[in-house]
Amino acid sequence: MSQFIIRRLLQMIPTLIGISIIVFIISQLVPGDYITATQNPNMTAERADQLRAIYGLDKPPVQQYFVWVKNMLTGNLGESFQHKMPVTEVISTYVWNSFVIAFVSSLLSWIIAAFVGVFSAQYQYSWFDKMVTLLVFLCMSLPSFFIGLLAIKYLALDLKLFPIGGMTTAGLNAGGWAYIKDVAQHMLLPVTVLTVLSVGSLTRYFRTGMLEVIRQDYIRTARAKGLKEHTVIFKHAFRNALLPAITLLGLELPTLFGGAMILEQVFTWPGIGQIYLASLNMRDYPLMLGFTMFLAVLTLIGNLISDILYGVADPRIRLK
Amino acid sequence: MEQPLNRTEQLQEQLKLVKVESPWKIAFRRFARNKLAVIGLTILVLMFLLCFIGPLFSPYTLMQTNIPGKNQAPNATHWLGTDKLGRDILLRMMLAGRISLTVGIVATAIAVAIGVTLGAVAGFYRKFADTLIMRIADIFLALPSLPILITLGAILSDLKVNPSQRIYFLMLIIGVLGWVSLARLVRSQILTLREQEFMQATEALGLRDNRKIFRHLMPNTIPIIIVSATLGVAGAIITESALSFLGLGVVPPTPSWGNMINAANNLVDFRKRPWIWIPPGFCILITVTAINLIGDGLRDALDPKMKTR
Repeated sequence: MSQFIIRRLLQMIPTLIGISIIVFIISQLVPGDYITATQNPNMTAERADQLRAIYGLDKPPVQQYFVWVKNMLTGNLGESFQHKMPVTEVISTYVWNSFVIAFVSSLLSWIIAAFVGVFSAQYQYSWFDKMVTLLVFLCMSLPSFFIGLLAIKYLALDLKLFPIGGMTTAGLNAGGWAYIKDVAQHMLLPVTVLTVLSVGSLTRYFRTGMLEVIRQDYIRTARAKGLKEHTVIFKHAFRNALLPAITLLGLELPTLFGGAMILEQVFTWPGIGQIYLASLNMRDYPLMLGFTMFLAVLTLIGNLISDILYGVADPRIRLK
Repeated sequence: MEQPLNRTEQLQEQLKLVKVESPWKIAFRRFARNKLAVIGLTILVLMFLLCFIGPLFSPYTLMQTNIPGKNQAPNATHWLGTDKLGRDILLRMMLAGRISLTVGIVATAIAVAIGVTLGAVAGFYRKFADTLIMRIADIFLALPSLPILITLGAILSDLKVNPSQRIYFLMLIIGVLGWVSLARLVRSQILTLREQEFMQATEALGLRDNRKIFRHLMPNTIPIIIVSATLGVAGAIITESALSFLGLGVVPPTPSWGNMINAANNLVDFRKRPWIWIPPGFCILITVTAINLIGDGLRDALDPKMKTR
């Protein structure tokens, strides 16, 4: 097992190099830099050149790339122009805001998907199953920003059931429970929308998994023994239907820490995704590049975890 | 005396008794039996008619502004109302549909062309070509596509690309980022197909490699290509609309469903004039759902074994 992990980690290196080159080339295509993006009217050409020298923007691109990579290897993603602090610090400040909504919505969608998927498989072709199938397709086809806007317009603005956006009520200076309650209220709508968006494909996964399991011989045996249907489904079939899904847990990693860029923007949730979109307008290269690499690493580690869990779920698969 | 039939002739006799149906006919029958898929196809056809034929019946034109008649709620002359420049929303929505559908289809065509070619080359030549292509595929797979698309969209804005040419760049970008999954599917199919007897026959006939690939191997991968391409169009439409919503995809004056929803960024339009941004949103939702239903129906119809999820 440890050999497998080491080999996979080594395989990541060329992939990461490839990604870093692509990301860097794209960033070089961007016309204008941070100095021009700030549009400071008092900026003289001299001062601008000085600043470029300070930030290393005057060096040739190849050199800039190697400096960037060397710093990355020492855990230094550079200094965010806009936030005036290290990129790693910007990420670690805002990533938890993203994590909170992503975690709650993942949890919810897993629970809902498991139960709905299993029931709809058990009563295959019933009206419940057909409804679920249709809803699953709708959920999988929702454009995130549109459904977010609809929710804000009708549920938050018109019906005033939820706060309109943000993470806390403006001017609220509470601590402790009052603060948590306030954040929880602001979370409700983004979490609901995120859950709706991710629950569709998961439900489909669980439904197919369950359908495969209940066709197996041991389920027939369980029924033939005269077990109650309830016992057959929940004690014998359910667990085995859930098992293959644990490989998906690894793939959740980028979702949990990567931020839901567009939805955070729509809900003005101060997560890392929204910060990323803002950094783009300011041409804050270190942050843009650093965050993209951060996401790529998360994806690679997620894939690795998923492969390891694959072996855990099914011991017949030998990891080599 | 009558000669006893030899083995081959016996088999031929038996075959005549079996009603022979082409695989495509069987697939069509299976598809037609799938109610949801047929509904999806009907909706999609209607949507195409609306977007491509509908504007011909509109009394308005795309750039025709009418400042005194701005911000009208839906009424008898403007069925879906007008926007802040007095332009007819219904007409804009239909023309936006042309753009969004075209971008989705062309972007997917690009992704399919790249994916099928690279997948076939990797699967057919194996060894070095395979390693190289699959390494590149790994890179693209781990590349966070949304940040990349957003950055590239911003670059297009900064380079002041003409809005009418911008659409082509957009198709290219979405296409180039979307080939990986299909390349992997095609590769794995070709890896198994190339070991089968009919490929030995092509070897014996001394066919050239590109004939083997394009005439003998690729036709066998058409079912997965069709399914993957159909679902790909749905994804590309969503991607385009999200980018256009952020102002980084198709930009005004060219209308697209996504950039029409961009009006919702204006608080007054968002709150008081939902007719401006809600109809295009529903167009995206309906179209993408319809395409997903068709894709799923095709998957079941073309190859029931392919259904892994």
